[in-house]
Amino acid sequence: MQKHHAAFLAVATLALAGCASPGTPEDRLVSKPNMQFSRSAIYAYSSRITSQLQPGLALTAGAQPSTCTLCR
Amino acid sequence: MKAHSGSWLRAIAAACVVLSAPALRAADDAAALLPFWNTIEADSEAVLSSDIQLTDTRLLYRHEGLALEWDAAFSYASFDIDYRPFTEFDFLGFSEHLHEDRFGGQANLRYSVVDRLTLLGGAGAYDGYPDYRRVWIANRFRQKYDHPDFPRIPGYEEPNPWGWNASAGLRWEYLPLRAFAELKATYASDQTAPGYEDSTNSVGDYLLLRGREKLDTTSLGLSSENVLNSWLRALNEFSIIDTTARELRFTYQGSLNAALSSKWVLRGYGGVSAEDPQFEAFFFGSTAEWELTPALSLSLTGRYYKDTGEIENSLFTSTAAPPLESWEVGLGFRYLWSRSSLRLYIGALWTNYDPIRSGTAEFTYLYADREWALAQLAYSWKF
Repeated sequence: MQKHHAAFLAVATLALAGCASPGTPEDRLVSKPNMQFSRSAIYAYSSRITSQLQPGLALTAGAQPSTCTLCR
Repeated sequence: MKAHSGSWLRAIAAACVVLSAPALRAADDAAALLPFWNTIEADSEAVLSSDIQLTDTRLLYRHEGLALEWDAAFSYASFDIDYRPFTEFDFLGFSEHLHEDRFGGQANLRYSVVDRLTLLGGAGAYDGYPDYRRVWIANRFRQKYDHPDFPRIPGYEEPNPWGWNASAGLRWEYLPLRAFAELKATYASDQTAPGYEDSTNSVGDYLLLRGREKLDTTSLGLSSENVLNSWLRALNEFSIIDTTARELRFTYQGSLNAALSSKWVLRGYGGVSAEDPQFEAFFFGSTAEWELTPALSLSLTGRYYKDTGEIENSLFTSTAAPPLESWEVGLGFRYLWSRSSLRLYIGALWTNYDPIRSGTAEFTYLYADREWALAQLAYSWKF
């Protein structure tokens, strides 16, 4: 029920306020989904597996890349 | 309440932007942009060479509300390896097919405590080998110290790798919709498949030394995302990583996305990693994306990676990888329906290692040059 209220409020606000332009038409370019640094798999531009092959990739470092025989 | 009003404004702004886009004017999309929505995502990828096949599949549910966003994911990875011993050093080793699984779960939370300030939290766990190299290396030690034709060498234990992690952080929108700073601390505990080394005790008798099994990792990451102008968005990420018995690792990655026109986007990134005493890596890549129709996008990706080889840290036998250089090229397709999206990526990857060092000779075939085929498939449904 609360969800419906929220949805109604959003639609009402849109209707009353209208869609103010976020800026020049070009401003919308920077907000395109493929311009974001998204966590969605649909807009992913990296691979979870290839980080196994490349141990120095910045965002995969940690305990995993080390395959030391005997850490000293 | 303040946090909620900020979230409402963002939701309305997002709805305005998307409603303005011809590709997304369907009533279904407008409904999907209301302040509560849910997403189910399934994605799977495979990286295949002639003797090693790796897969990773994830199923994720995400809920995005006014102030609270959370997701939970289950993942499955498989490792299939045609193991081959380097018989010049490994006289009793034998070829065999290895298959291992890894199961994992991860949950993340984002909560807007006040307007423009979001708390981040996350936790996860896995059971299985974290990467294919550990599967190969563990089998080398298994064949050497627990050979099926001989008694097990005292001191050897069958590995049981698993681990967990937890993270907490803050995201601060210090310029509305234009600039974000994020600070995140992570702790990870890994029960590894240890290495082994032949040695002697104080009276000269044989002793099998087992390497460290438990590794603790703490890391601190700082990033800044900035909208530079109407067509440029940048992300700079720094992190410091401290793992048991190792020196600090420093990493940096910079990314820059450029909307060259309404139909063309160019994404680029580059980064470095460094760890004393001698590990260094650098990498860069780029993706050019073309919006062929409002629903269909095509992309071309190229990547390069090079490092100086992992750090030798053993007395005689080392599992450390020699210096590596690799390249990747690939083609991507993305198709958007009213509430669903599909992405396919196929590519080729080449890994070229420097000649093997004497201490690593046992792993000659693990660190052989390979050509890999890559495939990624992702599907998302918003409701």
